[in-house]
Formats: sequence, C-alpha cells, structure tokens
Amino acid sequence: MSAKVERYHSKKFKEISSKTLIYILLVIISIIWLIPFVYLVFQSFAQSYSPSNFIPAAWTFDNYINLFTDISYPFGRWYLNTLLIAIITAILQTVFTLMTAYAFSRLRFRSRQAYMKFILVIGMFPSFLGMIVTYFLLQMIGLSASIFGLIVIYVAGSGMGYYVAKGFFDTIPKSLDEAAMIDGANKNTVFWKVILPLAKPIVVYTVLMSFTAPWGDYMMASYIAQGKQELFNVAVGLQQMMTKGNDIKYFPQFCAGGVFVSIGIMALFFWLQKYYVEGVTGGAVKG
Amino acid sequence: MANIKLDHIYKVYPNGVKAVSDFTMDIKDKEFIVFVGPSGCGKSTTLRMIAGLEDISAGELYIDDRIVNDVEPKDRDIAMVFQNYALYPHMTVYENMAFGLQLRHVPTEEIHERVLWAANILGLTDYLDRKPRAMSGGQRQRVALGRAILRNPKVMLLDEPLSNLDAKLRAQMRSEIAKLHQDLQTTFIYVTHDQVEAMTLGTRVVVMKLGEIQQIDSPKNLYDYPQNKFVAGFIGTPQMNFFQATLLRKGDQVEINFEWSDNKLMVDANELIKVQPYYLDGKHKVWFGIRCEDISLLGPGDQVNPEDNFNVKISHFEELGNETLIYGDINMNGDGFKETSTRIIIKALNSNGLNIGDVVKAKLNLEKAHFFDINSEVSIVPRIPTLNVISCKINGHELTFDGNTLTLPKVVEVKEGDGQLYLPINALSIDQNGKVNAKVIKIEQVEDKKLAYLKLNERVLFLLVGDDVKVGDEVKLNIDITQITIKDGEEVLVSTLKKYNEISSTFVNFVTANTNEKNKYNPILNSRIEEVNKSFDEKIKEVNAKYDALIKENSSKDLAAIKEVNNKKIAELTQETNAKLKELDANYKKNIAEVKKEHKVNKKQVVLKVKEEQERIKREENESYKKFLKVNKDKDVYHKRKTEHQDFKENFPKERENLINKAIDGEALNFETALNEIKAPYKRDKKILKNNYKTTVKALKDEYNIIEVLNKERNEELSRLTKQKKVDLAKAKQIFFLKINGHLYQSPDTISNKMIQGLGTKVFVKDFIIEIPNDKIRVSDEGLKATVESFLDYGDKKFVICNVKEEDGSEHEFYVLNDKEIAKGTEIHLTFDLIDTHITEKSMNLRIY
Repeated sequence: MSAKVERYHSKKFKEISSKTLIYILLVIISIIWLIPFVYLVFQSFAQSYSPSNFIPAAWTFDNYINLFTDISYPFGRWYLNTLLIAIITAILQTVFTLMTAYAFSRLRFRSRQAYMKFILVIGMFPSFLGMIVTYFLLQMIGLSASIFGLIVIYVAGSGMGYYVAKGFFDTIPKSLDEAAMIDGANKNTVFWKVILPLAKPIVVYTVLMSFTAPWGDYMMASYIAQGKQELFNVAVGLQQMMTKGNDIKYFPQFCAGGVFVSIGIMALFFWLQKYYVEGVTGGAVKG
Repeated sequence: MANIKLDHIYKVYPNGVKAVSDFTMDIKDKEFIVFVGPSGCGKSTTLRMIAGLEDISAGELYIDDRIVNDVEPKDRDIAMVFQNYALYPHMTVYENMAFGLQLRHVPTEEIHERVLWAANILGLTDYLDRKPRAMSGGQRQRVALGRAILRNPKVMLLDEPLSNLDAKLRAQMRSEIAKLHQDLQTTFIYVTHDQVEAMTLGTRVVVMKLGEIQQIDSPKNLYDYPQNKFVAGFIGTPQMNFFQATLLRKGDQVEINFEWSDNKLMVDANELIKVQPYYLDGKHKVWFGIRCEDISLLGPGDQVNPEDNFNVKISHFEELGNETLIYGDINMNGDGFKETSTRIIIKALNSNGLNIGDVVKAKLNLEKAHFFDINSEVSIVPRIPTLNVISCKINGHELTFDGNTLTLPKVVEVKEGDGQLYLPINALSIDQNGKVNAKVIKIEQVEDKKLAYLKLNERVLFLLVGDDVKVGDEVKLNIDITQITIKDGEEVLVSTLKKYNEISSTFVNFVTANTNEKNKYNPILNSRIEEVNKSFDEKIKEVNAKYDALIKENSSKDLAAIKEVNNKKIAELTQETNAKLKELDANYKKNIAEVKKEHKVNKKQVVLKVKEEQERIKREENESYKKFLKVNKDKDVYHKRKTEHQDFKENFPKERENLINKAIDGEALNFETALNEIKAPYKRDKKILKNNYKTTVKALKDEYNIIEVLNKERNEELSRLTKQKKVDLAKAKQIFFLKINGHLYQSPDTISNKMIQGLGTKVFVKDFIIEIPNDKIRVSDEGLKATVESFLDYGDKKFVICNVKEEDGSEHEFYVLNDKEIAKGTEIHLTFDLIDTHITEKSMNLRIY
C-alpha cells in the first residue's frame, strides 16, 4: 500500500504527468494554428472552390499555371515588384541597422543614452500615423507613385531597429576593436572586417526581418500604388484578386498565389539557416 | 626602438574620478618597464593612454621626442598584447598575424616572410592554419605575442598578458617574454599585479597606488631601498614586518622603543646615521620595518647582549619545505595571527626545538632596517640625504657649530641664540680656500653618484663628491651662506636667500598683441612667413628640376616599340596566370572534396565506435543483472541492485547521446582544421599570384607610359608639398606673447605649445606666475623697470635687491645677481630669457613649464 502511494508521489510520476498535459495542450494549439495553412495548400490544388469541403473533390495544378497566364491581372509583375522591393530594402536596411547598432554599441558620444531611449519611444507609434506627411514628402521628391518611394519609406526608419543587433555587438569583446585599431584599422575597417564576420547570426536575423516586412506589407504598398496595377506588390494584388467581381471563382488561384508567395521566404530562410545556427565567437578571448 | 617620456600625465574621468595623477617618467630605449600595483591603481589606464586607447586629460606623452597626445593608436607605431588575447576568431593564426601588415599595405611576400619569422620564434609554425578556438590558452597568447612583434614596433605594450594562464604555463611564458625582449631589443612596457613577474622581468619597476607613482626603481632597489611603507609592504613575500616605534638619541647611541611591547634596543648612532635628525627626539613615532630574513633567532649557546635583541613569543609555524616561517608577537599578550603592528614573521631553516608559546630571543640586522614617518609613511632614511642638520650657536655675526666658527657677512640679518643649522648638500663644496676642516671617513656608491661621509669633529656631514676624493682625505669645505637656514624651534634666526623672483603674467595671442601695439610685430610675422615660403620654393624647384631631367632622359626612347613588346608580354603573362589559377582552383576543389568525403566517413566511424562501446556496456550490465537475479537470494540486496539497474537503464540513452555528440564535435573540429589547412594556403597562393600579376603588368605598362607616370608623380609630390606648406604657414602664424608688467615678451614655441596643450583656449583668460632664477636675470638698458633698494655682498656673490612695481600696484622684491654695486634709488631695467623661467598657472597651481 505504502509503496503504491509513494509511486504516485514520486518525482518521476509527477514529471511524466505534467509533461503529458503540456504536450496535449501544445498539440491542440498547433493544430489550430496549422489548419489555415493546410487549408490554403489544399485549396490551391482544387479544381473549383466549395467552402464545405476541407479536402478538395478534384485535384489540379492549373491554378498555379493560371496565376501567370491569366491576362486579367499581372501576377508575375507583382511578384517581381515585391522581390525587387524586398531585396533592395533587405540590403539597405541591414546595412543601416547594423551600422546604427555598432555606433550605439561602440562609440561614446554626448546624449547617446537619450537618443537610444528616444528611438525606442518613437518606435512605439504605429507607422501609419505619419502616412499623410510621408506622402507629401514623397511627392516633393517625385517618388509618390513609385515602388522606389516604397523602398524609401521602408529603409528610412531602419536605424530604429538597432536594438537586437546592439545587444549582440555588446557581447563581442571591445578588446577586439582595440586590437584592430592598434593593428591599423579605422572604425570603418573594424566594422566591416572584424565585427561583421563575427556577427553572422545577427546579420542573418536582420536580413530575414527586413526582407519579410516589405514582402508581406499591405498598407503602405496599397497607399503608394494608388490603384495602379503595375505598382502593386503581391499582398495588394492578391487582395484585389479576391475582391474582383464579387466572385469566389478566383479563390483557388488566390490560394495558389499565397502558397507561391510563402515559397520565396521559405527559400531565403533555408538558405540562411546554417549561419543562423553557427556560432563563430569561440576563441576570441580567454576561455 | 624608442624613448618614451610621460610628462605630468593625468587621467580624470568625466565623473571626476582621478585614475592617474601626475605620472612623470622617462623610459629609455630597450628598457623593460613593469607597472605594478594592486587593482585600481591606474596601471592599465596609463598603459592604455600610451597606446592611445584612452584620452590623456592633461600632460604630454612623447614617443621619440614627438608629442603623440592626439595621434591615433595606429600611427604611434606601438603594438599591444591584451589580457584576454583579443584574437580575431574568424581568422586563422596566419591571418590574425598578417592583419596588421595587410592594413598597412605591406607586399604579400614580405608579410609571408614576417609571419613565418614570428611563427618560428614563438613555435607556432605548425598551427598557422588553425583558428584560435582550436588552440589552447598558452598557444593563443603566443599568437597574440606574434601579432605584436610582427610589425617590429617601437614599443611593445603588454597588459597583464599572463594572468589568464595557469601557474606552470605562466612561469614558462614569463621566461619566453624575457627571451623575446632580449632578442628583439625593443622597449617593453608590461602591466601586472603579480610582484614576481614585476621583479623577474623588469629592468625598472613602477610601483603604483591609487593612480600615483610610489617609486620607480630597479627590482633590487625596490627591495632594498623602498621609498615608502607601501612599497616596502608590497614588494617581497612574506610581507615586511612593521612595528611602531620611537627613536631617541642618547649621545653616541640611539634607543629604539617599540610600542605595545616592553622591547627596547640600544644601537650605535652610526648605524642610523642617515635617519633624518628630526625623528631622533623620542617623541615622533615612526614605522620600523624589517624583512623576515633579516631577523635571526638566538639559540641557547649564543652570546646574549641584552641591548641588541628582543623577546618574541612564538604563535605558530608555516612549513615551506626548504625553510620555515615562524610567526610570533613582540607583545607577550598578542596572538601572532592577526596582522597587527606587533606581529612578527621570522624566516628560519627549521623549527627544531621550538614550541608554540615559547619566548625566544631574536636579533635584528639593523643595517637592513627601514624607517618611515608614521603619518606620511615616507621613508625617513634617504639614500642621499639632501639636508645636513647640526646644532649651532650664533654670537654677533659669528656662527659656531661642531668646533668650527664662520663669520657671516654683515648683510645677513641674524638673531642671536642657539639653533639648528640646516645645510643643504648643494651648499657645501670642497674648496682649497674653505674654512671648515673635515675628514672623509666613508664613500658610498649610490647608483651613479658618490656620497661622501665627512667627519668634522664629532658630527658627520654628507656631500656628493667626484672620483678624486678618497677615504681618509683631509678636505676643506666651503659653505654657500645664501643657502643656509638656521632655526631655533619655529623661530628663524638666519634665512635662505630667495632663489626665484616671482612676477605675474598673462598669455596673449598675436592679433591682440599686434593690435594693441599698433602693428609693431608685423615684421616678426612676415619674416616667419617668408622663411616658410622660401624653404618650400626651394623644394618645389628641386622637384621640377628632377622632373625635367627625367623627361629629358626618357624622351629619346621609342615608346611605341616598347608598348608593342610589353603588350605581348602582358598577354603571355595573363594566359600563364589564368592557367595557374585554374590549376589552383582544381587542386583546391579536389582537396576539399577529399576532406569532406573523409570527414563523412570519419564521422560515421566515430559515432559507430561510440555506439559499439555503449552497446557493449549495456550488454554487460544486462548480463550481469540477469546473473545476479539467478544467484541472489537476499531481498535487501535485490532491491538495491534493482534500483541500480533501473538508474542505469534510465541514464543510459542520455549518456550515450552525450558521448556521441562529444565525438561528433571533436571530429567537426578536426574537419574544420583540415578545411582551414587547405583553404588558407589556397587563398594565400591565389592572392600572391594575383598580386604578382598586377605588379608585373603595372611595371610593364609604366614602362611605355613613362611620361604620364612622371607627370602623375610630380603632381602628387607638388600637392603634398602644397599641403605641407599650408600646415607650416599656419604654424608660422602662431605667435604668442607673455605680457609681463605691460611688456610683451615673445613666447618661444616650446613654451607656447605647452601652454596651449595644457590649457586649451582657456590659456588666454588665465593668470600665470613666472619665476625667474636670480642668477638668470640681468641688468640692462631695456625691459622690466625696477628701483634699486639695496645691495647684498656675500663676498663671492653679490646681489642687487630692487623693487618691481606692477601695473596693478602690487610690488615685488627682486634679487639680481650682479657684481657691481648700484646706488640706492637708481632706476634700472631687467631682462631675462623666458626659457630659463618656470611658469605656473595661478588658480589651479598647475606647473606648466
């Protein structure tokens, strides 16, 4: 009898029961989370859309082909637009963000602390608050109806995302900077040749973050496009597709577009993943 | 290879913390200087200021007579080794070492040569293609050293380079660093908190505490002649014994009374002859310090003279193997454990025959004793006493001391009575016509100086002498009356003649001075500008002449023909280089593929091996358990064995996974090293190939483009000269003046630089005090206006005393060395060179020049 009671109170029993509960909860949550994606993928292969069927009645690949061949909308153009915007933004934003982060991490200048706090506070306001002013500013430089205007908007505030990268830079010992400076490097060389190679994980993180934001952006993109189809990105385009003619005819094609859009970002993630995991700081200093 | 001079260097942080105060030191070429002190004493900060990693708040830093306060670290030609190595983790050892040279655009072949040289010296040749994380701590520090010596810097700076290593490795690296210094013959500055490192490595050691220098000296002198109690206690293990005591002179003997103890010593006054007389009155407390090896215990058979030994109560022993430290107390009630001012540590060969609680007799070697002031903790036994103090008597103008009588000049104001005569050693000189007779009883060599002990009748005077004076000589002494002081308690009977004349001044720039003086100084400015112009005109002429000659020389060549030939050569070279590059690429790819394949196989193998081993262990455990079940009949033992087996089963998978991961990690590191060993030489070879190609092609092209090349060279040279001229002209226009009593004196450039360096633009609103030595000021026709007040005749020296009235009404008394008497009331003018003066900022009392 007592042995039995002891078993129910043992540490092992408690561990197993609590783990079981946690896993059940997690499985339920992940099913809820995954269903829309699975649904999207299934519907992208449906011959016709019927809301009552989770699994399509008849399968086809035509939706993907139609995406690029249907002349009623230029999906290819939208995709290229998005890719161009995202790539340029990712490059510029990464450079600016990392430079800002480096400056805040390494240089000591007056009101540095105040600046950092100020940026944090400013970052708490939603960006669309400044939409109208932004529009007038872009109009003044002649970029109000152009995808480059969109790039300017995305890149302009990139320094504000310095926080995570600064935290990473702070962990790189300052004596590396100093050693490089004695070796003959200036701040610029230190940044490009010493700090950046050591900061691969954070570079990857920054690239991913700055790529995904414009890739899925709807609000600014639709605002700048001003209804001109050739300026749409995929998010705006797909939304247009759905509302076209008040019809559900396009829904499978919309799903196909959705799947296609996520492929791009997945490819980028898998390509960059190996740097993400790789830690390279070992051996710099003692230990 | 350089001299370094630190001139009144301060480091003050924005929050007001003074990290380094008034650091002044001259470091000679090839010296090994060690900064040592407890943590927070400013030693690293000083080093970082020399490196340029930290701004200097005040003062000047010279490397080879060039002020480098505002020079970037990379342009100071220094190298530094950091405590945590600071290697670039993403580069191989080779790249780590080559980085500095690459940034300085040194040719690739030379870099290669130098890296191999440094690697050879430090035994790193086999590790060149490894990354730092695949190396041990000692190896990493060696790479850091290699990186530093590679550039052949003027100064090597080492910031606690050994403190991250274990004790054995530290000793080994210490001797390697010493050898490196011998081989390289470079100036080393080394920071450490470890006194063993400091004593063994340094040619001179700087002991620091709370940002201030305590003493700069050779390790031996630090040990033998500490200048204060801190140094005495810091250097040497175990620490020096300190007791509080009073000294009382009783005729030829001095009585030492120890506080909180009944112990008392009577010693011959000659043993304490250098102790400042002020402390021998039995009232002033002093710290009495003696090292543990200078105390010996008296055995039962030894002769006991009650006056030169004292009682120690033994509290405990520390056996060190080759010797024993005996702890005790000179206070019979003390416990000997706490660090009090009665605790004593004695070094002895062994503790045979001694027991805890015994009271034994100890004899001190008083020649090795040290004495410090109780409050300031400064040594009161100077190696070269600067002051002789003797009792004296004044009667009329007759001065009597120790059997000698001198007549003071009539001009000296005296008060009659008994007193103490203070005789600086500078005031004494050996002179045929001297009136004081003395006998040289001893000559002591102190560093490069000779200190003579001169006996008058009873008292001994100190004097620095040359090589011609021998022990036993009878000499005659001359005394410079202007430098003596006679005091009776606090009352001054005879005072020293003022050495410096003070006057206030302000610092004025050229425009202000020139405007106020109605363009009086334009000619000075113009001549300075003209000088610069002239020197540059000459240089430009030279460049042009050289250019013309070269053009003439080359104009006869058939450049078109050369072009054709060279272009053919270039084409050939391009083809050849491309072929070589292809071969390199192919080889590289092949090797990499091989290594990768090997790695795959190896990885599988190591995992398999671990798995097999683990399977075997599992099998054995299962079998043994089964066997146990069969054999065992005891229930208790069964339960025990069962839990053991269950634990094993539970932990086994985790353990196995750990071992597998460890094996994979090890193999991954091997793989990475192997990859680097292919990658790094490949990259290097490729670079060398490309560089060679580039330089050869450029040389070939330059040969037929010679005219353009010459043009370009000349233009570059001219633009460099123009730039330099601009700088020099700006410098020439920087003329400053010191305004003294309404007169403007042009400030020499050295003084101007120091003033501006020290105070910035504030220099123009500050007041300064100028001190002019009385022998550097002359009576002349123009200059400072003064009225003669009186004339002082000291016999061999004569002074005019005059009154200088400043514009604001304040008056100064000036003493001017002058042979001729000038009548009272005469108006004279005084001139002097600013170079001879001292300049001090008034409000902060900051000595500037």
